[in-house]
Amino acid sequence: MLATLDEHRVTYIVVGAFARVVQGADEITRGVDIVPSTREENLRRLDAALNDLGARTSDGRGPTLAEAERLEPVTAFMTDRGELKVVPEPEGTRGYDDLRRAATREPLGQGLRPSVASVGDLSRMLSALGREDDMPKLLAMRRLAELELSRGIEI
Amino acid sequence: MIARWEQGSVSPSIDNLLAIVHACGFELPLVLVPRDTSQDQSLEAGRLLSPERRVDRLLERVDGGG
Repeated sequence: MLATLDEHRVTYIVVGAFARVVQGADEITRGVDIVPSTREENLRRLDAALNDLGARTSDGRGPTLAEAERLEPVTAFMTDRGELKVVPEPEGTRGYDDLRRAATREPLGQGLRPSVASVGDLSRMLSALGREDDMPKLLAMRRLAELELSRGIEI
Repeated sequence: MIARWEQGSVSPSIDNLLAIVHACGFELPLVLVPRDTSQDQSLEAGRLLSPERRVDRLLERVDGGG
């Protein structure tokens, strides 16, 4: 799925559970959440990538993000490769330009190096959602940050 | 100052933090609770893996129905 986004040169940052797993969290997820740059040209590339992936919303609509007057807070697509959620401005953030400052490119194999939100920003998003169910995930992110910090001190 | 807090370059003092929380109409009860270290082992194990291996581990679990 991410490889197809890269083939279409889509600019995005991975967030959500998949990003937390990449950062070291012990979670299970079957989908990927992304925050795209909302520049029109990028949304056109994203639409093209989603079309290649056979993306459809739950009500059967194809991707038309570039044509939307206002992007939905979350647009969930089912693709040939799994679920992809497009989240232009996750809770607690100001979207792509805000997240890209701390995001890092992480090697995921097969030449794939997507930008992944930082542990701090992933915590910020969970915290802003304020869901009781997310508390263990938030604690895990904070603990990961502590472990990273302690490793830095050891070095 | 607030921008520096947002960027994580400095942290507010407890007094300033409480003042901000109060100004926003909230309370921040500072209560001691036992430290939860139940996730430490799995987090440490995940931290030692490369990002690629972490995704492999996820895919193995998803494919295995875990």
